[in-house]
Amino acid sequence: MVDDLAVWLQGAYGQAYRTACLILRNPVDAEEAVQEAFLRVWRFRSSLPDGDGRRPWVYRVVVNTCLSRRRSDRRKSGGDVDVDLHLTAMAAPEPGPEAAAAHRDLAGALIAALGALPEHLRVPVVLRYWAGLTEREIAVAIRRRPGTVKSRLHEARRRLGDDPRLAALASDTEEVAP
Amino acid sequence: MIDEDVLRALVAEAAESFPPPREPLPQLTEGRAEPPRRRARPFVLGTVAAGLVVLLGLVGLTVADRLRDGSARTVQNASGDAGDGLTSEPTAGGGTATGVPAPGDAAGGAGGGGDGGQVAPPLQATKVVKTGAVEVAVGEGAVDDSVTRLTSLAVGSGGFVAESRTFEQGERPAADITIRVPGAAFEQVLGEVRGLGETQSVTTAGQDVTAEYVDLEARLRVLRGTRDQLLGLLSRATTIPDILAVQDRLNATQTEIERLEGQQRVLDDKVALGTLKVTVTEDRSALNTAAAKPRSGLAKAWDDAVDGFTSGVEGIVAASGRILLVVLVLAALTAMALGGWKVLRRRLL
Repeated sequence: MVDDLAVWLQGAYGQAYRTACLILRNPVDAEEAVQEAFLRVWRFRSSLPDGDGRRPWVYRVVVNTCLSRRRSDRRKSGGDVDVDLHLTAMAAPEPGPEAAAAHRDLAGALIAALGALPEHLRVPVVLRYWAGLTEREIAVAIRRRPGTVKSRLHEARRRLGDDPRLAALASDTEEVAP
Repeated sequence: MIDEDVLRALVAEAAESFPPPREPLPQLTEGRAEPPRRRARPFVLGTVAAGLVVLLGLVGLTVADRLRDGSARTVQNASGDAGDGLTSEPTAGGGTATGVPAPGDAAGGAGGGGDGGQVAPPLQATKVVKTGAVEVAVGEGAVDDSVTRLTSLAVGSGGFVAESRTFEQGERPAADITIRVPGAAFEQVLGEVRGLGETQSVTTAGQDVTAEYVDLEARLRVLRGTRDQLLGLLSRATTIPDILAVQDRLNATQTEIERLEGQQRVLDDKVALGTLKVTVTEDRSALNTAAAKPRSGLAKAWDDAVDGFTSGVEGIVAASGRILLVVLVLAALTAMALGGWKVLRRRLL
């Protein structure tokens, strides 16, 4: 059981880290938050549910750690942290300059659009479209009813659709995708 | 509305754009699983502060209780409508002179000697001289019965009748009777006297004579010491002039000792037995008027309602301080519980 959990956490670490990145928009903070969250999960592993219940529970810890870290940073800095500058500097390398620029545009636009969303909309979007949690699992992770999750996802998609830069990139993606 | 698949692709693109983590996940099974220690958060400090407030509140309640109990005891001793600050007095009961035996009592009569002022006097109990005066109107032909009842009341409580006088007031018989009752039974006797008839007036007083008593004791102790020294000198005197001189001093000292002991005995007597002067009159009109005009049910109900309302308001005002304190304590407890829950939740998740 213990070894199984350790292996599972090692496997989930990368995805949870990027989830935290999308929520916090700061890789350094995200890494610290996820490490802290996973250590907490490990510390309280006796109360961790088995099987399918494990994933939403672990993401609940990750989300809570991220949000409390974010609130703490806000208190310390007196406002929201502008981390968009991180994106250019820390984006993953691409094979060529043009491709890298395009990648940065796409990622930057999406991350900026996510950043424009309020927390209660951003978190469900990240959990649904990156971590791949179902609406029911998200409901467990953020301690809300599934109906609330559904309406928040709907509202988030509507707002993201209204973002002009993202809409342009989305249409490009749709054209490329087929 | 952005398409779900497109959004999924965009989010994946954005997520992949972040660099990989700088460090791998720490080895969970190698004892490094303790989360980093967090700095004391403001709400933790708040919780501690709330705890202090609760503690202070509890201390405040305890102190308030003690103060209230003390004042309640005083009011109880004042009994009825006296309200003039009678002080509680520890007594040995049974009509003894004082609550605590004084050194002078042990020395007893003149010439006993022996305490010499070398032993520290014990803590002096409060000495209170209680006095009171009551005017009671009784029914027709009940004055003599009342005097008899007062006499038996005084004797029954361990006291006596100091003075009794019956006379005519106009055409109505009346009586003045002064009874001495033990201090411990003073309030009880007062209540029974008031029950003889319709109370016209009540006056009670309590005079604290502790300081006077202590002063007397101190002076006696010094004089007894002086007397012992003079007796020693007298035994060693060899010439007639010396013997006469010492004898004169000894006589003067002994006289002073006896004078002060007399004062002390008077004081003991006053403290041991309170003095209650009762005037009994026959007042037909008052009794008849009261009997002839019973209040109607509605008037009585109205008076009761007004009384009830007044007492309720008084009760609320009296309890407001305590209620405020309780509210503050509850607020602090709530804050502490919320803070504790926050900490617990953060630690659990």
